[in-house]
Amino acid sequence: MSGNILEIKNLVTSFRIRGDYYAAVDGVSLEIKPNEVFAIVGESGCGKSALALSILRLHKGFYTKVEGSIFFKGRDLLSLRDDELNDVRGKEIGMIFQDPLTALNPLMKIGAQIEESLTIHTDYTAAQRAERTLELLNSVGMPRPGLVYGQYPHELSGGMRQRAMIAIALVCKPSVVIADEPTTALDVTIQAQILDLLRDLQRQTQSAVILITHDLSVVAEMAHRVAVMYAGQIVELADARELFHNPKHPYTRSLLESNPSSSSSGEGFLHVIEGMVPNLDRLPRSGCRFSPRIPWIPDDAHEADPTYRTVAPGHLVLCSCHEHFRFSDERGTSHALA
Amino acid sequence: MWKTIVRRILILIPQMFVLSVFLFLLAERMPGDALTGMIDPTTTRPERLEELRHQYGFYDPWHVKYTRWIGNAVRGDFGRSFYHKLPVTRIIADRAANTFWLGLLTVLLIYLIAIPLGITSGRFHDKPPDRAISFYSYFAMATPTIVLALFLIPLFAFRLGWFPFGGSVDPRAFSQGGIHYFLSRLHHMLLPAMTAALVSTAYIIQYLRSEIVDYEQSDFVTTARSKGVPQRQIYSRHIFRNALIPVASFVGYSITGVLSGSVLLETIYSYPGMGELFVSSITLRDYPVANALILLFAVLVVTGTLLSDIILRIVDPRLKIK
Amino acid sequence: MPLLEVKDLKVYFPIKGGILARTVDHVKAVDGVSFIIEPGQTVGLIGESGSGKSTIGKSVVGLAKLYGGSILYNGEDITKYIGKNRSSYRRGVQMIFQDVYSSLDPKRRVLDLVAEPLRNFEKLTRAEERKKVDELLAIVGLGPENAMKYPHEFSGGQRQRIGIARAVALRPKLIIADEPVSALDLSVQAQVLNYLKIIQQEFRLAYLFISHDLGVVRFMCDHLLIMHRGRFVETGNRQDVYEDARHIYTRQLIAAIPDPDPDMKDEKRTLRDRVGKEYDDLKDKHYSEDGRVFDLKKLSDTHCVALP
Repeated sequence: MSGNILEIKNLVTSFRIRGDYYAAVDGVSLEIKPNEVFAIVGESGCGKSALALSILRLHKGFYTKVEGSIFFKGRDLLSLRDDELNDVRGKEIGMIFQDPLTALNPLMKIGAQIEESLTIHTDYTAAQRAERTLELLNSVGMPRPGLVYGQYPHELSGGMRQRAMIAIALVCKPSVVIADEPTTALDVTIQAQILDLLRDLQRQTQSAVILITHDLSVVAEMAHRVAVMYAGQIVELADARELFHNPKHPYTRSLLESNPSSSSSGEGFLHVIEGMVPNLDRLPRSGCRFSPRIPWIPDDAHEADPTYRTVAPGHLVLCSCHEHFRFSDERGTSHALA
Repeated sequence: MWKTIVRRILILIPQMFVLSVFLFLLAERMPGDALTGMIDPTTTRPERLEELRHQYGFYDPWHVKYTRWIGNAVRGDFGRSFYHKLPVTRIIADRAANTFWLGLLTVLLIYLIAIPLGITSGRFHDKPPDRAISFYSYFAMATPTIVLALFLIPLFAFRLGWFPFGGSVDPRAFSQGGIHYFLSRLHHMLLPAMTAALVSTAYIIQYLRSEIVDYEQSDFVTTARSKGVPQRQIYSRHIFRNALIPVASFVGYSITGVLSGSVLLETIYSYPGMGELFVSSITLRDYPVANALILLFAVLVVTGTLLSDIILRIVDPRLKIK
Repeated sequence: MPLLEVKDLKVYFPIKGGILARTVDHVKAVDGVSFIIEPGQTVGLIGESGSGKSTIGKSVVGLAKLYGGSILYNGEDITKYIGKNRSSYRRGVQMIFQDVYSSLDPKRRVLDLVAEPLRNFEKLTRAEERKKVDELLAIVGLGPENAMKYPHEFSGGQRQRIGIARAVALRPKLIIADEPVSALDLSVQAQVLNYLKIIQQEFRLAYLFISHDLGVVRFMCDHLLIMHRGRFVETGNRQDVYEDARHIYTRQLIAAIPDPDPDMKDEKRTLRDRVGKEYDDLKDKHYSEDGRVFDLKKLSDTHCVALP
């Protein structure tokens, strides 16, 4: 296993649209190391959530096909039957979702929702389960854990619900935690608290965290390594510091450039990426998928069949176009509108 | 919660007042009265009829009559039936028990049939069991009660002879009493109750089915799956409980359905309940009885709605008032 | 004379209770706030959910019932027109919503959606109307071929631009933008923000820009109003608020902004912990006994803070 806790090999996740399957994740390979925070960043429709859900095969509906392999502790998760996978879900790989209000069962008390995993995966007695749950509520910083234990989700604030969600994911001490946009639905100050909590817990438990987000600032705050996704593919992968200081792929560079948080003053305009993310059924399936959005870069700068190049140790970039990339012009009004 | 209940009951008072005035005036405007047709005009002098009308207070101004009527009604006296020559309260009391038992059996049957079918339909949606159940429920939805009854009566009452086709109890069983009496009552109620229930189940089945299908896609079910909860428990612990909440609250509303259905049903099966009494009291212009029944129906409908609210508050923690 | 002047605005929502459902108390959504907007200025209104920021926006466009205070537009008190159709005010002040999809009727074409305000206020021939709509769409970068399409045929960012075209149709002087880009992806968000800036220059528009995103607000706004518990805790220009915040709530809010530089993450964390501790220590000094925010005190010509 070469020291990786999770290895994704050539993953293709397809959704059925009007009778045909279209790959939302199109040939992704990744290696997650123990004890690291690995961020997958991209805009909506890039396939990051489809990728996250593929690991435990949690897609909604019946119109999804997951191919490739996902090795975890020597087993290919994709070769397991659904009931076999249930032994991994919640026990060895935990999951945190975006909106803690809808992700919690409205009719179950918080305590019961956390304990459910213990009932399934351990032979703890009821007293042991309650003890573990209360201990965990404490360590996720829940105010008045004893009270919250017997409360329903609607009685808690958004931040407290997300703390409960984190407790659910961590209760069986999993070695991998997948967090799918864990702070997107929260207010700024609560987001900061939850991010700090996640980082502290990750350091304590030494588990690997796969963080799915659209927010580059969250990536900068949290991640050790980052993969940038566009149109179902990873276009760039690097250490967080390297990626932010030395971004290579045109998409990564454009994204960083259009972040209003990095443009500190109100002078001028933000960078705009031309065109838009194509729909799943209209994705270009060959060549550099980002090329339609940088039309001023000549065609021969792209590879016909893009491959990953190592530009620095651990820093991979898809397609050769980054070597020839420049922003179209000085950012004036005309370009600002793209 | 008691505050809500008290408030709802307080709101009921003006509603009932307006309704009762409206009803009273409507009954007043109906052509004929209890004496029309009751007394042969060829043998009774018209002067005698007029005398009787004066005696019964027919020529008093409407508000005088209304005040008299409502004053008595509040004390539980709805007057005497013109036709039966008995206190209205007593007539209704006999019939109300019949309707109550029939209604109870109907509601029980509805839920006994609808919940398992709805759950099966939702659990295996778009698979053969669901297709069969959906076929049944669309069929039931499209069939008016009267058509179903006209199909069931010849089949089960005449041809097969399994059930009686009228009445509420066998006179022989009535004299035997005890268990025989009870069984005979049940025997008489089964066919009408079944008729009403079969039609009403369709809506609950379809509702339950769509709730279950929706919940399968909900975020908290994904959370449960991410915890490794086995499929069966996903349904039993997470989906069914959520899907059944609105259905549980339908119990109250189904009172309304059963009552309005009773008018037709009891007439078809000549079952001596309130519905049948209502129809006959109207044809006989026995308006003390008709008025009392409408008021009673109104109270029951509002009580049903209130009951639904109370059930919902009990089963759904989100609606509990601290 | 300022374009908009809000004085001691109060919006209370009644809490009903008891058997007779009488009003027993109020939720003070907005509890006495005052601010002005000059022509062509962008004022940012920042707060977390439940702070009352959207209620202020709704009050200004006449969608909320005031409990107290006044709203002056060009010097004229418009509170008496709330709920009524007062054309000059209705023309002058428009609103852009966060969830633009639900504010666009899905059964109507873009042409009708954008022309609707024109039809209410101006009598144009069909040809004139079409020309005007094409011009408006061009301003937000959409070609005339889009006029005959329906809202669902567009992406989120394009729909938000249609919303903007519709809002500027009557050449308003003030636009209330309530979280206009919160639902959008980064690259699309950049585009919409740029358009907002361009039409501002073109029409000399003023914005009341309501947002929880301090990064976006910093990029867009000249003057900032920080809101907490229905009141302003601090107001000032970009410099005042981001570099010299005085109220512990503002400081906490700014410390919470994630930094897009990974080298800053430990520093940011230390800052957050320090500010968090400071908040706990100084809570009593920054809020009155019943948790209310104090009245604003002037520190400089631009900078005000709510301290006793």
